[in-house]
Amino acid sequence: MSRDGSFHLHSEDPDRWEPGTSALGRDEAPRGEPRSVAFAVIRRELDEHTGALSVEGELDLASAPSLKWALTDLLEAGHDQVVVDLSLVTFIDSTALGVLVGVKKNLTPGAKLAIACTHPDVLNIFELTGLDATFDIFPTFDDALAFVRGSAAAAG
Amino acid sequence: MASRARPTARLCQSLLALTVALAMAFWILAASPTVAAAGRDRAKGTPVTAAPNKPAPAPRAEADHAAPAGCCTVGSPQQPPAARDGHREKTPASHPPATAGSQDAAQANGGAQASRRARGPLATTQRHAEEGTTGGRARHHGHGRTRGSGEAPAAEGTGESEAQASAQAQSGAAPLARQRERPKGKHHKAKEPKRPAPVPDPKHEETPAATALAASVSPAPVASAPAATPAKGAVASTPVLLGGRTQSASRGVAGSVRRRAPRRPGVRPAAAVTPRPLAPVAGVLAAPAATNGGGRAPRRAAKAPSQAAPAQLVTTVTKIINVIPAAVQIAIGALIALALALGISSRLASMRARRLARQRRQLLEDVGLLQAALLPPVPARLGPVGTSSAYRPASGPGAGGDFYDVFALGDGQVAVIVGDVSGHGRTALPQTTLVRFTLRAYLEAGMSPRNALQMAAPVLERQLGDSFATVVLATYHPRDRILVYACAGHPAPMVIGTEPVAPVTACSAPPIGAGRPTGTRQTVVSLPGEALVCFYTDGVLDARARGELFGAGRLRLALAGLGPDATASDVLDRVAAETDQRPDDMAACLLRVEGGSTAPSVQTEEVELDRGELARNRAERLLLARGFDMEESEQIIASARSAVAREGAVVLELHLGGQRPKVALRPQNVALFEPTIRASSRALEMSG
Repeated sequence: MSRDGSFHLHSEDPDRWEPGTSALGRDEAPRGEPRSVAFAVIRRELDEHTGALSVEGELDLASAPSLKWALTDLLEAGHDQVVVDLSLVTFIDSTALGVLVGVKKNLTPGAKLAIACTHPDVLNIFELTGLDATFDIFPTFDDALAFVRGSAAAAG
Repeated sequence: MASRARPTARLCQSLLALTVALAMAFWILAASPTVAAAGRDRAKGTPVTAAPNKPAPAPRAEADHAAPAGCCTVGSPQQPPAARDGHREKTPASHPPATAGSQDAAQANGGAQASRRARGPLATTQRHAEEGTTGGRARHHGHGRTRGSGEAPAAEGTGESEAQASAQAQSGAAPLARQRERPKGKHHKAKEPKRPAPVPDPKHEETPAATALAASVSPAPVASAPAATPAKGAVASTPVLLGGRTQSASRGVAGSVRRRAPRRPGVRPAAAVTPRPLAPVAGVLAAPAATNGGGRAPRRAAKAPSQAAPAQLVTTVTKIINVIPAAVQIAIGALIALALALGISSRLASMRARRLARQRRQLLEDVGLLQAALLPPVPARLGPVGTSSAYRPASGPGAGGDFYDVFALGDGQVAVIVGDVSGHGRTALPQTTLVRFTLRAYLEAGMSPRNALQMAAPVLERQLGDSFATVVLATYHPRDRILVYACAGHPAPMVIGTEPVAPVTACSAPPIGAGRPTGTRQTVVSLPGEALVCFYTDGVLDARARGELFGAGRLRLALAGLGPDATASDVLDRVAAETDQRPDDMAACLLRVEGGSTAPSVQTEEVELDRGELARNRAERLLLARGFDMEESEQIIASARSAVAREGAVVLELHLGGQRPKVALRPQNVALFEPTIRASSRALEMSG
């Protein structure tokens, strides 16, 4: 994957999302449309407590706000078990890390945030910044989901 | 600002110039055709009119009515225009007569009676007065003339006559009052043949005219001329005299007096047919002049000669104004007002521009001070260590947030702080300074970099709000050639030297304000030979060349390729040259350590472990990365766990310098003070 457009993304502008509307089915949207934007956030509401964001592309100064609004939106919709899937993210910079840190710090007591990440460069960034001590990072989406649900169940 | 003010000023100037040019144009236009005519009128015109030009009795009669004294002149030029002058026809004749008449009237005053004439000289300065009064005075003069014509005009012509005349002229409001009547009066005169008017001889007319004219030119000297003229009583001599004056008389008064008369016609063509239109204008103009004359005359009489110059100036100006038709006067007035308004506004604008420039200078100074607070100047050398720093803000919205500091500690060590506060722009500035000075304080207090971070982090975390700060603190001991650094979420410094040390990223301490205790990791490295230590922010690594990250590999290459005198600026310049996208600020500090020692190679990693840390298995990764095998690392972790269970926290030291790495567990050397509330709640738990 590179920036030259060799991969195509289904991109949605989170600013246009209406809070509370179900995003189910959005991830089934066709992905064949070539887009110049190498970034996408897809929101899924798995149940009334659990929400997930699948992020693709590069998380940098330009795309970090989209992630921020998507996360804020999800949390404000009442989801306290959130998984951020960064498996398809190829790069993450300090601004996007700042977004994640900000959200993590503002989680209500009992709420859980887990990150699924497999890309070595992104994992390295988490390691280098020491944020692997801050976030719960899992190699798969399912592990992350199990973590947020399990801990929520334990808390409940 | 200045550039904005300038056009206005230019416009203002050009408007003023235009106004002046307009006035001049009118003056010249009006004057050029008529000067000659006026001269002729005066010189021969009047007499000629009286004699040859008006052969018929009619002119005579008119002359009689019009000006018992000087007013006859009014009539005389009026009729002959066609006959006399080409110009006349073009320039309606009606006015010249009027003017001429008025002047002549003034002159007549002089000729007729000293007392009456007094107004004439006065009028030298204010011709209007004469004009205005003409009508009324004319009558008087007429009477006077009748009486005085026989008397020796010579007496009146004397030098004193002028002074007296003006003295009397002041006699007051009389002229003014008369002026008011004047328009009507004039017409009456012109049209009413009933008026008992003495038939003036051409001689008489000439004489007073000459006298007044002479008087108006300059009181003393001229006076003698008229004196002579009437004395001679020769009709012929008068024209000669006047004619001579027309050409030779000083431009000042004589010229303008003459010019003025003819000018009227040029200016007011509509009024050509009858003198009527002129009259009101003249009257209006006359009013202030007469008033002035009345008020100031006595003084002027006393200092007549010394005041001549200003008086002439006033006269000239007044004449120029008179020449200009009302509409044009209004236009010129409007133009002047516009020019003034523009001038004032441009002046205000330039003042504002200057004020703003001053404020800008002050602001720049303030910004310079603030900049120094954020990015202090770094000396080129601190002891044996060459130091430099550089900062390159991002071109986009990512600017702001990076900071650095390089300073000497008391014991000869060199301390370096390089960091980056999350968040960008001006909102990051206060936090940037806060973090920098707080960390500096702990370093100056003598703490190791890791302990400084450990102590400062809780303090800063409360201040940072939602943002966090990544930072690297370092101290270099020149004597031992030992570099100690601790990172909090920040890239480790890059060491280029005889024995390059590859940093291990595993088990890095988190940033300040990320919700976890930091200051958990510290690295000690000896720099035996010549070495270059580069501290930088992630903006350097995140710069891109054709879409690819610049990264640590290229930075190492760039550092290795630097010359011996390279500075941090050279590093950033090189990065900038090799990349096309720099979305974040770039900051760099460079320590150049000179070689030449055989200090033992030392490398130590310190990690502080607590329960949370052990639960994450991060320490194991570090051990594996540092060359311990699985079994060794499990052993080490197991003993660490038991120590943590006892102590709460333990510092794991890995000595990597020798052949075999050594491991040591030490109790934590910094115990943080817990906030009172948390401590008391724990006490309650324990007691419970």
